[in-house]
Amino acid sequence: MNPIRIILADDHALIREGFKAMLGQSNRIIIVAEAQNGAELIELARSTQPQVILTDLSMPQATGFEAIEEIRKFDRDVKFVILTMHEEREYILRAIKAGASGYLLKNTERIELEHAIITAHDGGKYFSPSINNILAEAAMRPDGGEVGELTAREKEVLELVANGHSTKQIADKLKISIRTVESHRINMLKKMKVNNSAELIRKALELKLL
Amino acid sequence: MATPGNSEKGFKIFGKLFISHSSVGLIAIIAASVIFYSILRVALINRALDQLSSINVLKKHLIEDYLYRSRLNLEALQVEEKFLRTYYDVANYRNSNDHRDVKDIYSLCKLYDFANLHIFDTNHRQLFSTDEEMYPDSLLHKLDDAIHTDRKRIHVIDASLNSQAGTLLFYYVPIMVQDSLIGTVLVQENFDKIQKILLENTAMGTTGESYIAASDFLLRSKSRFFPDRIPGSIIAQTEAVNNLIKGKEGRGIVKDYRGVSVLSAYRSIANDDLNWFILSEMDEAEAMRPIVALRNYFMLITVVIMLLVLMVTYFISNAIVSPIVELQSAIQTLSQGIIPSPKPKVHRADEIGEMGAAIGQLIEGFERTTIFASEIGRGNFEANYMILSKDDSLGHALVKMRDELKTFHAHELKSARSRAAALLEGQETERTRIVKELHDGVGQLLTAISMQVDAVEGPVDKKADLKKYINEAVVEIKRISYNVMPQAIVDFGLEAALNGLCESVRRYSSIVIDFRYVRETEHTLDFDVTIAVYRIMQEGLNNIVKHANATHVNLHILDKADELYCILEDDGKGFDASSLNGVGITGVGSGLRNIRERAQLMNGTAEITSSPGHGTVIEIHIPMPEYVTDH
Repeated sequence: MNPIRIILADDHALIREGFKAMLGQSNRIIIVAEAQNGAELIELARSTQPQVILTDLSMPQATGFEAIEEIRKFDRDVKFVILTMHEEREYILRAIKAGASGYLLKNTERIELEHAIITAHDGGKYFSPSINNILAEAAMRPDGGEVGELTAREKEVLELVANGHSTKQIADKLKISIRTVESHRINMLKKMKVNNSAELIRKALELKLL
Repeated sequence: MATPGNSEKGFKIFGKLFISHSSVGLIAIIAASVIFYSILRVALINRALDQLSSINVLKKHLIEDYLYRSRLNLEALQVEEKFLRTYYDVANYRNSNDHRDVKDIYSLCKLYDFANLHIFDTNHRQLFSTDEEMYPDSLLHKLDDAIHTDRKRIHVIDASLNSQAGTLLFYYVPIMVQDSLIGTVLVQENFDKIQKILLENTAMGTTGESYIAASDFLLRSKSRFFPDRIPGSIIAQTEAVNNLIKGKEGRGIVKDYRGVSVLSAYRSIANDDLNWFILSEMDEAEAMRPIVALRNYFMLITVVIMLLVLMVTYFISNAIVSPIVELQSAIQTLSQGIIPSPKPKVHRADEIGEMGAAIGQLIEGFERTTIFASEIGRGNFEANYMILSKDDSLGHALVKMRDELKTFHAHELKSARSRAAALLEGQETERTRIVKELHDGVGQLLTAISMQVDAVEGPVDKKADLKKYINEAVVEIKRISYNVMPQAIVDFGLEAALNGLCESVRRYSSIVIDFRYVRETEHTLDFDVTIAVYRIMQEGLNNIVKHANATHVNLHILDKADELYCILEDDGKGFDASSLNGVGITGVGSGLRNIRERAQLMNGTAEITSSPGHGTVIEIHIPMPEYVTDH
């Protein structure tokens, strides 16, 4: 069985050394190239055609995200495993959206790292337990479900919004404050489970509320 | 007119008015008086002179008549040869007193009222006399001298000169026998009779008199003023007498023998032998007495008129002065930079009224200017000023000043903002750099060290401990760097950063946060707006966590084409929002002030509404740069 060919990308030489030392002990994985920034990674990916790319996200000259996007353009098969300090939801979600097969924090253990690379190579996905927790929290955010009833005043506001009135005009017309108008608008977005006024109007028309 | 200064001013105008009024009055009175006086004086003098003249004529005729009748009587006696017979009688029978003719002589004297009758022969021998006294020779020589020209007719002889017995007037009657003189009769006129005629002071007052003077400048009749003096001792060398000597009769105002100014009418007494003059005079002072009375009247009238003028002047000057004084004090107050209160009220339909109205306008203008200036001073550059006229230089200057201050203030505000913004930007850049160093530098280094631990020889449990400590250090650095500047804001923008912020709040507290980011339009926010809103919300959430004691928080962002509208509301304990303007703001206050300043730096506004027990609402409006209207 041929070892898995990987590129290691990180702008910190010490980190690269650490991972090199870690992965050097494995006979299933071989580091074919090291990149110290995004641009270099793109070049090396093109020239060495690795099977898995182990990359950091924050790098000079094209971030990890940019490099992934660029590499995806010429190589649809290579797998990405993110190795980063960031554990915010946005990074994780965006990495998943970009097509990462694994997401690890840099304090990972050798076993986990090796496992993640192999899983990715085999077409699976691996996230370290702490990342899984964050993803679970994001999934728990209330979203979807039943559409709520609009109050009479909310419908009044909705009609005016649909007729193209500005918040200030609506406030003047209904003799209420701008804040009240905006809170009606937000409440309607909440109840109708939409993200902006355009979607709200569309949904209201669908539900024949207008 | 309350203060002495004012009454002094009042008196000035009063004095001037009084002087002008009274001088006009006085001039009128004096002119009238002078005209009346001179007309009246002439009339009075003429009347008095007419009177004197008629008296003079009357007395002259009476005296002439008297002398003429005496002469006629003597002529008649001559024709009757009465004196001839008596002459013979006394010449032949000298010592007899018993003759009939002599007796007749006495009766004649009595009848014709002669003082004495003397008969002389041609040798001046006295043959007969009704008087015991003998005449001195000197008198007879004097008589001779007087009549030497024509001894054959009757003469009237004035022998008063040097006489101690008063005026002596004699008739010389020649006793003729067939054209030859044989003797002489001297008849002494009873001058008392003439004196009596003169002394009949018909309507001549207390100083009027008629008297006789002769060409020797001596009086012949008694002076009314010196009744005890012999007339011959009184010299009347006067203008009237001089005129008479020159043959000029007349009338006028002259000095009499006393040197007193008198009205005088004077004529010569027509007589062949006597060079006598009759003068009728009256003291000018007495003649003028009616005029003096009139003058007193005039003076009385003058005094009354002056009092009247004084009163009228007082009222007029009061009417003129009191509004002027009021206006003047208003102007004086104004000149000290004080707005007079109460404003002077002068309602009159004359020039003073117009002046009052003008001053009223001035005060009003001053007031408006003051209000305007203080408005500008308070920084209200929208204050309006109504320019009074095209040439209102003060008004134009003020308005120009306001506009320049406004421009300056706006410029100052702008540059202050840009300085603050630059400062903040620098701060944020610095933070970004620090975070990068911490996160990417120290953090990565620690991670690398942690990895190296595995390669080191040693007990496994010790190495695990070491790695655990290093990991804790990395977590700490992450926490610190996240607080300083979340990497997400740079990499993913406002929504992601706020989401992360809410996540961390949820993680460390039990507050339920409803976070909504409504994207009404597709655009990328400027980084400084992103940072500003992030910092505002960070500050707001920080306050809520620290102070509000809230359970629910709404964080809603409406990202619209024209503005970013943010609302952060909590159901906490709230606070008294009106206390925010106080000094020495700490804690909540300083946080909220930072929020305001951040919003203002983005040309936006921050409204903070709160009251104890009703939570807090922070609303932020930040206009998008292309919608920013430059004030």
